[in-house]
Amino acid sequence: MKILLVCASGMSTSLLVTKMQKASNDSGSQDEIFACSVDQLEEFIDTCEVVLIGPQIRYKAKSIGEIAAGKNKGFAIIDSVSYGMVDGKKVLEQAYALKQS
Amino acid sequence: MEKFIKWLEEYYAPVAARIGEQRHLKAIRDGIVSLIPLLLMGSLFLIIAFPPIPALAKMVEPYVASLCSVNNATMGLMGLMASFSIAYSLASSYKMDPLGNGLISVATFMLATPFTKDGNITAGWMGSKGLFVAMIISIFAVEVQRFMIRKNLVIRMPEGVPPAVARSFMSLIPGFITITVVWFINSVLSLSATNVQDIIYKILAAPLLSLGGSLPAFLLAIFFAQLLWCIGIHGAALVGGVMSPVYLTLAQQNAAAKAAGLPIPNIVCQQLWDVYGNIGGSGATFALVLMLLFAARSTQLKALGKSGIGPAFFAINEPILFGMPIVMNPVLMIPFIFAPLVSITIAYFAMDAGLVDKMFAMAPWTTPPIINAFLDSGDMRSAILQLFCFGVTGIIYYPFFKMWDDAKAKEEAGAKQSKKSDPNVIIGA
Repeated sequence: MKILLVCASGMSTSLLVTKMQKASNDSGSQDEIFACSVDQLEEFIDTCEVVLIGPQIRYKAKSIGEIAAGKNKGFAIIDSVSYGMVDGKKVLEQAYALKQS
Repeated sequence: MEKFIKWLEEYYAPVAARIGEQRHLKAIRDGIVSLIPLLLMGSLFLIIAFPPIPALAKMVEPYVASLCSVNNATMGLMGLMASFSIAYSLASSYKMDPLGNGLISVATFMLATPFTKDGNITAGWMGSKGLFVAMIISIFAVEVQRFMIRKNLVIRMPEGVPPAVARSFMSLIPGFITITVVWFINSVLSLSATNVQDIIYKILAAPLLSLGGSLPAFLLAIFFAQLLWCIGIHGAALVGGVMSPVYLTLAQQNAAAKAAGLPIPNIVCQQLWDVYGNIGGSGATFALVLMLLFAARSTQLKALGKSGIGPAFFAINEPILFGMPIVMNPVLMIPFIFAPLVSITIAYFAMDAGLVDKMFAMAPWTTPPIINAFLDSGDMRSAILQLFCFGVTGIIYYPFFKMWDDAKAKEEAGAKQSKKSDPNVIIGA
């Protein structure tokens, strides 16, 4: 599954990308995870299946959610505890839960 | 305190988000952000032109003018380029033709700018001095076109005409009106020997800059940003977005003064926030991360210190903000708000007293501490000042860190106890 992480500048979520990629490789699933900044969202959104945004930009949840819904992508705000602990596995689970629903 | 956090979430955050997301302010921010790479390039050449080591400075002295020309072509054209980039981002946000609007805006900007008697462009207005006119004109140009498209007062080509051609005809009448209006205003003003640039600078830009460039206003802006972070919202992006035209203009004034060999005018500028307010990220958390790493008794906090120390060198601290957490945490919110304010105040007065040089160059915000302090001012004493500020933030954080660490350690010990008695309880990661 292709998962896009979005935060203000794409810096802090890129920390999470590494951890999620590792969790994904460990579990043997073929996920592709990448991060971008809010401004690049429209450039990258078509290439992914699920969009997750960092909790620090949840004030943009509404506008990004609408874009994601319009393109039929799964969308959620990353749980702030897993985000803070940079818990790749938990966030990966969150992404998978979105795909199923 | 609980009530206060609730109030922040319910009333403060939505208002702040709405201001930060306001279409025109956002266009201004995006337009200016797109110029930052150029500002950084100009800055780099400025650092080379004025190296902090006297022997090197002597060596490059014959080339100073040529090195400064890079700065003139980047930072020095900030206003001109902003007149394009702001119109471009605003038009894209309306899904209108960005290129056409950008070009009309540039032409209008030049129209508002006085030329010399011999017909040369006045370089002074092309930089940050013309930035406010660039903002007003680009918004005006795009809004005129939007209004006319909505009222259907544009030339529409029949289908089959290539879209690029159709678009350029569409902008014909609105562009004509924008240019005529500004031409008319400028002609009237020229009767009393002035022009749009001059008037806007005097009645709008100069007061805004002196107000926004004052220490109280700067501290207030940072206070608002920190308050947003306290409820987990990217305060620096929101507040910085609104204030960046002011801070970048002040920064460019400093660069221009340095290049011209004049004393540097402004203490408050973008770098003051980056270098002294964000040591280790928003809230100046570098000292806190070190405490987590080396002094925490709680295993969870220690682990957090380990994952937080790397990013901290590059002023990224979301793991700490959300992991400790500082967000929504009434104990840690207090030092988080006050540490950067105190650090900046110290730095301000140190520069004001002439203990360290003011900053003229601009390193990217992700530049590690010490290095950024040194690069931005070319003064080794700045790095010492930053270290001192770092120490002060450590003192501010320590009692709160201790309180939180004790609570966490106790919690973990408690969890272990209950785990012994009940093997089915799993400790959260």
